[in-house]
Amino acid sequence: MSTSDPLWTITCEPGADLAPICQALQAAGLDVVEVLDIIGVIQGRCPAAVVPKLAAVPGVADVAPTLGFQLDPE
Amino acid sequence: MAKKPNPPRRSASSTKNDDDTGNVNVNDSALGAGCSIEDMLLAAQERGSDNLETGRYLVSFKDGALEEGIKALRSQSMRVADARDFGEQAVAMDGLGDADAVLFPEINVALVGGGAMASRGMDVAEEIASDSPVEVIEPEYFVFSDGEAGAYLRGFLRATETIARDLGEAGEERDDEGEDAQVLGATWGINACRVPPSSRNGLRIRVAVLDTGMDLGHPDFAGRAIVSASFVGQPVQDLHSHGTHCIGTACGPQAPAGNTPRYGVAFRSTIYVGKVLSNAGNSVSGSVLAGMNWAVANNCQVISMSLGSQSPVQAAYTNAGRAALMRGLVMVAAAGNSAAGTGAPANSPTIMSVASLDRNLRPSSISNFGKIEISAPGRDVYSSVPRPQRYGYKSGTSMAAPHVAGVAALWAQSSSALRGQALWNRLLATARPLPFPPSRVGRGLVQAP
Repeated sequence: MSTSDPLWTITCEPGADLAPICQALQAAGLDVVEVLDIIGVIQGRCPAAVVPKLAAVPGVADVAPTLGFQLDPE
Repeated sequence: MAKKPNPPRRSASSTKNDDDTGNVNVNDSALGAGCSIEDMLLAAQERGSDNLETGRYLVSFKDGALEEGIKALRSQSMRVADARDFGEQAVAMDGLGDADAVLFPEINVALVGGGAMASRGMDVAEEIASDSPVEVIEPEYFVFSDGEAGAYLRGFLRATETIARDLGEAGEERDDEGEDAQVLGATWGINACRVPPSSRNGLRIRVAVLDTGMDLGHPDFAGRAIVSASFVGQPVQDLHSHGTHCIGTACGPQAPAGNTPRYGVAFRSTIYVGKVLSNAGNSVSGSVLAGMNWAVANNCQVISMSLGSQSPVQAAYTNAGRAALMRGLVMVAAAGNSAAGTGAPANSPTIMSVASLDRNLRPSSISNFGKIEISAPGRDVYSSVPRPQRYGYKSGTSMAAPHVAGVAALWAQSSSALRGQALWNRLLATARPLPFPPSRVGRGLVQAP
């Protein structure tokens, strides 16, 4: 784990309890950066190779790369 | 050859911290020759000045008096950087460090920091001695890429300027009801959404705008209830302009100062400013999601997002939209300006996608299509921008989304039952149908209650 690992956006099943999911993600190798409990999203860093393990955690609906974007120039 | 200048001293406003209070305090003594444009803009806003002066001064020397002029500055213990110390005299304006002044010898001019002038008792207004090497001292002014500064300096804006922003398209049609013939006093977009006749103003409705922040000191928003937070490690204060413009459309005042036409919808709403885009207009979806989480946690009945990327549906955005609906809130997002399929987050099924219309109520050529719920004015939209310009025009689906957000706030105020999915359904059911496919305009042009 390092701060140069890419950022991932983990979407949890609606209504899922985030605390056990967080623990399981960390055990799988995710460095949790932020937990957005109201919308059921967890953000964290890990190498791409770890992603399949994250997706396998019960309660995880989706794992996607965190996207960058830019406003259109005026 | 002089030593390489020290790295720029960090001013108060660029201190890195996680505090999202947005407090900035840049006093003029920090405005050396090497301070950043961002610092000068912040300081100008803090001063509340109506002119376009940066706080620095341009000292022009008489012909042949350059060396004497340099001596005069140095005799005042000023640290003077010299363009001749830079390769090709290309001064790195961000590499001047603690310099009080920088000399441009080819043009006989020195740029002097405001603090340096004041602390040495040098006053622009004072008469210059006839034997002084200085010819004239003038304030430095901000320069802008568009024409709005000119309008600002004229000191007033005529309502007819809203008519002057013509598309110039051949065969431009006028609305057959004639109601979008310019009503002096409101922008074409406000009129097209039938906002002025509405008895609603968004009172007690929370409208969150997730964008580049806001000019919190803009005079048109004095006394408004505003809650703000930043999710990008920069103060909420908008140094881009996009956020202030969108907030103006969604929540601007009923009667702006002077001859300015009305440009905003929900003029009594509570404004939740979520800075999820940096002052450079960029971000990562993580910041947007953090802003969405905040807006939902704060029960903002309407959440407006004029941002996105040409990506497939993102599960996280769909989750956020679903969480909002389940709490009786509605998320509204700009469809995007790529003349392609709707981008994220607008393409999430739980987020309302807004397309852009031109003045003639045709879909704008750049407006994305496909998954579109509704449409709104998006071309040549006049609204607030950060001081000192205060007002400006922008175009795009970014401008359409806040029209829908503001109108949604009016509907939400009209009935406590209009929340979440019910509010969504009402907006679509009352939209004005347009003679274009739903993939371009959704159910039509949003209309106020």
